[in-house]
Amino acid sequence: MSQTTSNAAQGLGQATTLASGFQFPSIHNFPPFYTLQPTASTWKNQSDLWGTVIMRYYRHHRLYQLDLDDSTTNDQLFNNQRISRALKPETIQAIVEEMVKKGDAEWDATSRKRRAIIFWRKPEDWAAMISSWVFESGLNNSILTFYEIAHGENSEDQEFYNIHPTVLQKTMDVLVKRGVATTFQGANFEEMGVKFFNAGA
Amino acid sequence: MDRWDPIELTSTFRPVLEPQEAIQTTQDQVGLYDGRVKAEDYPNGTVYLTNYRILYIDAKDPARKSIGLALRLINGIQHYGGFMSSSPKITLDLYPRSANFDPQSSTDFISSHGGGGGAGLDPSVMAALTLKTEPSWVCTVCYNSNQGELTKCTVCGVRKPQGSMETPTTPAADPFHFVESIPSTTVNDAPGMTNEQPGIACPACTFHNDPFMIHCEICGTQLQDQDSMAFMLHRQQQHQRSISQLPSTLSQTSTSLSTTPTASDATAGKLTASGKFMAGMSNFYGGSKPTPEDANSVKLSFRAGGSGSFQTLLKSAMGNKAWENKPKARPVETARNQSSSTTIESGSPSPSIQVGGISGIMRTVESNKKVADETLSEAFRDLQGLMDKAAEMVALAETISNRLSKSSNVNNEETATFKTYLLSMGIAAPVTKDTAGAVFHKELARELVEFILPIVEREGGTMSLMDIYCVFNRARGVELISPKDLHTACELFEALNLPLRMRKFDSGLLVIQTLARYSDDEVSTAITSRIQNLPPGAGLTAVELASAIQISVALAQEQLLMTEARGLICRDESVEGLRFFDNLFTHWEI
Repeated sequence: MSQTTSNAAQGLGQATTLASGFQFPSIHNFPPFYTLQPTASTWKNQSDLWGTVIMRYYRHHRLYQLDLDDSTTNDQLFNNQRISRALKPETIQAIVEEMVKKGDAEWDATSRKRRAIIFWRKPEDWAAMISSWVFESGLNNSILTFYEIAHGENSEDQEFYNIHPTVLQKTMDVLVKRGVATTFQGANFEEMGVKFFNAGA
Repeated sequence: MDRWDPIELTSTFRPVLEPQEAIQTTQDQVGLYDGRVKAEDYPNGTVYLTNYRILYIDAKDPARKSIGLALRLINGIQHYGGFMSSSPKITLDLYPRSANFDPQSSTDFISSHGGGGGAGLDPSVMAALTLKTEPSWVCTVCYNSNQGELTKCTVCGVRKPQGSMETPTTPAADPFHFVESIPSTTVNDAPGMTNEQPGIACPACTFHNDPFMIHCEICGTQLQDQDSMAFMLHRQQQHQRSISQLPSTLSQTSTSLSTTPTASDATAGKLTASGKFMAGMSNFYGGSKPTPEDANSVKLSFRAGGSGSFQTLLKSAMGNKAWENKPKARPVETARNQSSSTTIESGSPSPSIQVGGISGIMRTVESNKKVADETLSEAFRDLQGLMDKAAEMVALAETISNRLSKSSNVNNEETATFKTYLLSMGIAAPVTKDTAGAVFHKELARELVEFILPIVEREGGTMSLMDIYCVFNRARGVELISPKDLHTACELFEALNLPLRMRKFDSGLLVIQTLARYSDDEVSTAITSRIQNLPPGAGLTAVELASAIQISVALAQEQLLMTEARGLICRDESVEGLRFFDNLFTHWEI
C-alpha cells in the first residue's frame, strides 16, 4: 500500500478481536464500510469485502442463517460500537443480495428476502466432506437419516455437525447428481434417508 | 450614412459609453436606410438609444459594422407607422452637411467658413472653438501633461515654459494670449522685478524661489514684501478683468478656464460653444426646416416593432439635449473646480491655493481627499443620493483602486482584498427592462459576462449561480434582477457565443464556468490527494472543503460527489453528516 493511502489505513487502528476468538479485519473499523456506497465500482468492492467478512464470521461461529429481523445474532458483526457505526438492515439486505448473485448465499423463499442461508462452505465442499466421513466410518451401503448426519452421535466432532437443513439438502442434491448417493423420502425432513454407494468414493 | 461614425465595442459587443452617457432604450432587428434606399451594409442589428447618440450594432458582423450617430446632428424626426408588409420606420432628418461640423474638424470649418463671417457668429464663440487646437504641454517641474490652453500647470502651478508656446491659429481672438501679454509688460515696469534678481530667497529655508512666487515652494512661508504682493494682486485683478471683458456668451467657459481647467472642462466649454453654434446655424437658415433630401436623412426600419416607444424616447432625449451640458467624468476634479472657483469668486486673498509649489501640491492632495470624503458621505446619506451618485462612486472606486495599484509598497493581502471590493462595487449603468426592452436578456447576458468573467476566473473557473446572483445584484445596486432573469440570461451564453457556460450538475446545482475551466480530472485528483493527506481516521466534509479552498459549500459538495462517482473516494453517512474518505475498498485485501 502506498504512503498516501496508509494514512487512512492507520486510522483504522487495531483489528477488533471478539471473546469467541474471532478477529475482524481492520476494514471493519472504517466508517464508510457502514454506508452503502452509491458509486457502482466502489459498492462492488465494498459488498465483496462485506461478503468475505460475513462468511468468515459465520464459519467461525458455525452460523448458517442470517435473519434481518433478528438483530441479536449478528450484533457484533454489523454494529461496531467502537466507531459508533452500524449497517442498516437495507444495506445488509443489499449485501446479501450481492452474495446471492455470487452463489455465496440464498434467500429463504418464504421470507421475502428477510432471511438467508450463508454458504460459507460450498455444497460441493460439504458433499466431499460428508461422503469421506461416511466412507471412513464404514456407513456406506446402509441408510442414514438426515438427522443422523446433522445431529448424530457419530458426527459430533465433524464440521457439519448441526448443519442447516437447507445446506444439507443442497449437499445431498449434489451427491445424488454425482450418482454417489440416493435419497429416500421420509415423513419429515429429518426422517429423510440417504444411502451412499461404494462406487461413489 | 457618412454622418455615422464607427463606435467602440466591448468584448461582448456592447457599445462602450462615454462618461454620463446612459442607454435609454434598445431595440433589435432594426435595419438602416440611407435616405430612401436600404443601406446594404446595415440590414439588421440592434439599435441603442443613449442620451447622446443612436448606436447601431450589426447582428452578423458587430466588430466591423457598428456605427453611431450623434443626436445633436438630428434636426427632426418623422414617424411612419408601417403598412402591410412595410415595417414601421422613423426618419431622422439631419442638419445639412455644412452644419454638420465635427468637433475634431472645427478648426477646418472656422478657417473655411468662419472668415466670411456671414454666418453671423459671435467672434468669441469662434475664439472658444480654437482653444482646442493648441497642443498639450508638459510641465518642466512635475511632468504633468497639461491642456494646451493652460498657462500654468494644473498640479504644481508652475508656468508653461515659453519655448513650447504654440503659434495660435487666431491670435487676436485668443483670450489667453491677451491675458498672457499683460504680465510680460507689467513685469518690466515693476521695480525689483528685473532679470538681475532671478529669485527670492526664502527667509525660512533659504530656498531660491521664482520671483513670481508668493509662498516658498518648499516650506510655504510667505516670501514677498507688500509691494510685490500688491503687484501680484494687481496682476490677478487684471487677469480677472480681461476675462470679464469677454462677451457673456462665453462666461461659463471662461470661468472654468480661469480657474484650474481640466480636459473635461475644456470639453464642456467646447460643447457649450457647439450648442450655441448649432443654434446660430439654425438661425442662419431662417429656422426653416431643410427639405428632407436623401443625403440628409436616415431611416430606421423597425422589423420587430418598438418604433413607437423608441420615437418617444428619442424625442425626449433630443429635448433634454444632454450633450450640451455634458458633466465631467471625475467627481474629484469636478468638485475641486467648484471649490476653487468659489475661492476666486469670493475674492479671497489666498492665491497660494492656485500657485503652490510643493506645499501647493500637498494642499491640492489634501483638498482632493476632503472632496472625496464629502462625495462619499453625501452618497451614503440616503438611497436616492446613492443612486444619483452611482456613476461618481464607481469612478471614485476605480480611482482609489488605480492609486493602490500604483503605490509600490502595497503588496500585502489586505490591500488586495480592498481592491477586489472596490472593483466589484459597481456597474455604472445597469441594463434594465426599461432600457433594453425586447433584448433585455441578451443585453443582461452580455453585461453579466463583462462583469463576472474576471471574478469567475479569480474563483478558479467555477461559481455557483447563487453566488453569481449575489455578486451581480450587489454590483447593480438598486436595479436588482430576479433569479429567473439571471437564469434566462445565462441560458443565452452559448447562443451569444460568450466565454462562459452554465452547467447543471446531476444534483440540480447550477454553476457558471469559464470555457477554459478546470477539468473534472484536475479537480478530482486535487480532492483525492487532499483527502489522502488528512490525519489518520479523518474524513472530509463539504463544509471543510469549501472553507479550505474558498468555494461555496454547494460547489464543494458537487466536486466531492463528482470525485466519489469516479470511485476515488467513498462516503460515510452518519448522524454527524456526510464525510468523505479515501477509497480503501479498491485495493483492500483480507
